[in-house]
Amino acid sequence: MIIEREDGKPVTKEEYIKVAMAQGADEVTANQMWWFSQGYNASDVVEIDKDGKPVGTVPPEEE
Amino acid sequence: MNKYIIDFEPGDFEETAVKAVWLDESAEMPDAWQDYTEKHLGSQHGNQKRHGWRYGKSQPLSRLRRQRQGQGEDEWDEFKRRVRGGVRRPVDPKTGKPPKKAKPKKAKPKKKPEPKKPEKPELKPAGKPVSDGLNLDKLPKKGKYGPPVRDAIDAINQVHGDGNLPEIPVKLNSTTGYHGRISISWDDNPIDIAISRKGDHPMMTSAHEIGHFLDISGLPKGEKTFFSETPSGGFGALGKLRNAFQESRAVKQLTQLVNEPAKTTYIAGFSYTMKPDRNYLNYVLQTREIFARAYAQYIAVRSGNTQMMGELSKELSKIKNAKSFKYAIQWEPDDFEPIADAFDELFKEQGWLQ
Repeated sequence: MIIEREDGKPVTKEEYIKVAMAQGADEVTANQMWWFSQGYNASDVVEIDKDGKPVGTVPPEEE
Repeated sequence: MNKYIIDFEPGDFEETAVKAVWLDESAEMPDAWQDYTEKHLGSQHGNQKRHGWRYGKSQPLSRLRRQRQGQGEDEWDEFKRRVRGGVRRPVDPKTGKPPKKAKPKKAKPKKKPEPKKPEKPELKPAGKPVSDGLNLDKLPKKGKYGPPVRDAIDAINQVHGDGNLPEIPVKLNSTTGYHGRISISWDDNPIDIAISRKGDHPMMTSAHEIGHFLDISGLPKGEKTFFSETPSGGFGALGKLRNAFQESRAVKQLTQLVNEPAKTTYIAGFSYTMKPDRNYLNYVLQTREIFARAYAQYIAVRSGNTQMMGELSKELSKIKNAKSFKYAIQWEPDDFEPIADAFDELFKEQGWLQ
């Protein structure tokens, strides 16, 4: 989901998640949607290259 | 002066005979009768042993009397009714006799409901259990997060088996970036599965990721990493499965979501415009993702696991109640039936069901 503020100011991640959750998404899905909206490949299938690093623009791993 | 004592037996008045006893004034009244002949003296209520016209008032009333009282008839009304001739039964004008009671109809013996024949032959898992390909050493056996993942694997074992699988570890993490994740090496071999503790449907997520695992390593290797995306698989069970995906309302709804107009919402005093994200829609519409989501729902439906079915219905109600765009990532039960049948066929073809 693409979320934009009508006053033109950029939407922060926290703001995005708040709006997405208000529309019915759970927190994790809202987070995943945020990464997709930022152009990342936030798929749950992660390909690992020969060096052991994820292929493509994947979101940073968080624990 | 001559006196009558009208003596009603306490109890069921319908069946009680009324006795009229002629008293000789000169005769002595037996002591035992004294109580029954006391007059009603309003000023001496407290001293009277018995009260009212009916002897034995202090005794419990018969069932009929209680019933009449319930219908609003007090004892005085009853006395008047009985003096006037009691209950008048209806008389048949032709015969002059009370109508004959209708014989109770003999109840027809109920036919025993025939046991429902199962529409389809019951399928049982065949081959090796899927759990043989999963290393659960890093997964806690107790606590909040480990057991649902283990339960999902048990549910899968109940539904179908598989062939030879490589063994990969299943672990937990606490990311908010995804519900679950499967890593694949550059040479198309699965590395591990991770399930987030932050997710709200761990069983469905576990089945989803194991669905990817089977799609990569369990089903026959084709031209692509994922069996479900094999271009030449347009015929047979895989073709039917993919066709069932595309024919489903949920997938059609997702496909049409791209064209949905933007919507506006107000939150905390700010106005936001929302529109569906093509990147996200392309992701959820990938055949491998549809396969994994459908596989998770198939396990929930076919195993009948209560917790898993609960997670599924929660997901469906989230989709139904979404305020802006309805991302139909799971299927309504009727929409899912052809997909479940197609999975049965595919797994029978693979020898995972018999």
